[in-house]
Amino acid sequence: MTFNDVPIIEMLSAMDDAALDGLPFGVVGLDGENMVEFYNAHEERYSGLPRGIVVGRHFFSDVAPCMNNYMVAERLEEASLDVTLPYVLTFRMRPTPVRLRLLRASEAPRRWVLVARA
Amino acid sequence: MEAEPDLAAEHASLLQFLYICPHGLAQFDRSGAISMLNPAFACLAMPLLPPGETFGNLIDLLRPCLPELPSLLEGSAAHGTLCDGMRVHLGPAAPGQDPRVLSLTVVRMDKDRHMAVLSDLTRQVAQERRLKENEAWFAALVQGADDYAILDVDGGGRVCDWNVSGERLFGYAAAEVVGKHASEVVTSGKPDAAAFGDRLQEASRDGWHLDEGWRRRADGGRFWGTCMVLPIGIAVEGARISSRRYLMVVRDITQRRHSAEELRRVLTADHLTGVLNRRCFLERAERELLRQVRHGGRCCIAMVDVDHFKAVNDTYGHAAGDAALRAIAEVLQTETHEDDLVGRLGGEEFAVMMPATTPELAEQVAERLRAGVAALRLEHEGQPVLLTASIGIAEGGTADLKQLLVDADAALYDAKHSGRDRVCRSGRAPLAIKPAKPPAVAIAVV
Repeated sequence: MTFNDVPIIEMLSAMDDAALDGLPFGVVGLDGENMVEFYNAHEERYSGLPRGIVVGRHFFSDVAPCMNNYMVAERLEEASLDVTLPYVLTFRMRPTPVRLRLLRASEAPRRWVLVARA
Repeated sequence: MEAEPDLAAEHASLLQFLYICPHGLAQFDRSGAISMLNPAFACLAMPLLPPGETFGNLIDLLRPCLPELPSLLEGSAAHGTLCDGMRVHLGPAAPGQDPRVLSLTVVRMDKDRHMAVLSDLTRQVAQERRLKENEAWFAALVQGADDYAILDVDGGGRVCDWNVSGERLFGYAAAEVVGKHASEVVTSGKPDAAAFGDRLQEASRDGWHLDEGWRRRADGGRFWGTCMVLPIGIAVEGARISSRRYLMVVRDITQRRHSAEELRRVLTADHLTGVLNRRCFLERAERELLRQVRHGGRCCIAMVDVDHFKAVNDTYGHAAGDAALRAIAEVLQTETHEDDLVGRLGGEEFAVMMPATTPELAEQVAERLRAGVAALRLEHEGQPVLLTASIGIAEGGTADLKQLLVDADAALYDAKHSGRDRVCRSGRAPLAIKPAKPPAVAIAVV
């Protein structure tokens, strides 16, 4: 499975944690309040944050404040969403060009943020 | 024996600490190359980042707004603070927002390692600006007054408490004014409840609001007075503010009006022509535009540029050029409405902001201005000096002053390039800021 696959939300929802951990890009699952429900191994490695201190926290205020703006956080309020955009993150304080893919299916409150290094 | 530290857990905590730090931190070398930066730094500096690029070099990144950074770094100090709280202005503000200002501190750790700390000063700078504008008025307030009145108004602007001071200054008994809207009692001219509401909101936000103007007395007489509005007492029910009260202090400063006016003139006027200076015009135009948009009104701007001004200066000298500008400024002030703003934007460029004006009316006004300038009979050493002006007008439907000025400027360009000494109106078709060649049609009809 790749970053650009479709239908991606169905594919992600069908995978178990171990499978999501095996993906070659970051996968963050948030609930309807933007609290972190899932944080895969790839994202742990790149951010340097073990999932234990991230799951259950508010993603945009406690974990990734640099995404708390109209480009990312506000977009995730759109009911049905599949958009990919270039971004620069500061993983472990290094400027890292990435592509973010923001996903939301209208039936479920769960939203996804996928992170692939550009 | 001490337990071994859990380095992995500590490492994660340290990373998290830096990730959520609300101030920007970055490390860079002598050439400006960035080796480390935290998310807050990336966020604050993001508006400066050209699309498709990443945060590679701090000197390049800050060059548009801090070109002196390289010379700061060239300083010979082996270590220590190279700059502390230096203000970095990111550029013109987006419509309806305060201009973004950052604070930069640079510390040299050794000749190849520098730390930059970046903080957001936007709100603080906006507050300072508001305070400075009123300092001159405070001086008039503090210097004493002939008489004063203190009254209370509620959140809707209605007078709820009136005492002997009000009776003495205004000549109204309490029964006549309690329950009436303050804009009918305290201000002269047309009572503008909406404008008064704006002042109450500003007072809530800034802690006070101060203005000056003519006030009317019960016997028909008037006086020049300051009026200070202070929020006092908020009643809260649950999570909602259920009622507000404001204290208003009106002071009669008719005697001191002249010196207060002088002070204000010095701060806001262009020294040569007496119209608003550029900064003051832009600030007031932005405020007025926002107000009009909020209340559903239309604003128009006219850009007035003197034709062949360089030739006037070259032929008749700078003294004649100055006299010409003064005469033109006078035409602009006499032929425009009291509520219009007239400002000098540049050497020979003026602007007129007409609030609550349709484009058709603005065009009529602009034609009066054009005719007024063309009719000027100036002389220099017995020789007649002929002057004309080109005028571009545009209508603003949104709170975007920058766009309105761009549109008016484009219309001015049309006027210049279709013969000068004329008025052109901006069309709806998007025009480049400075088109490479003039458009085929001189006047675009809206």
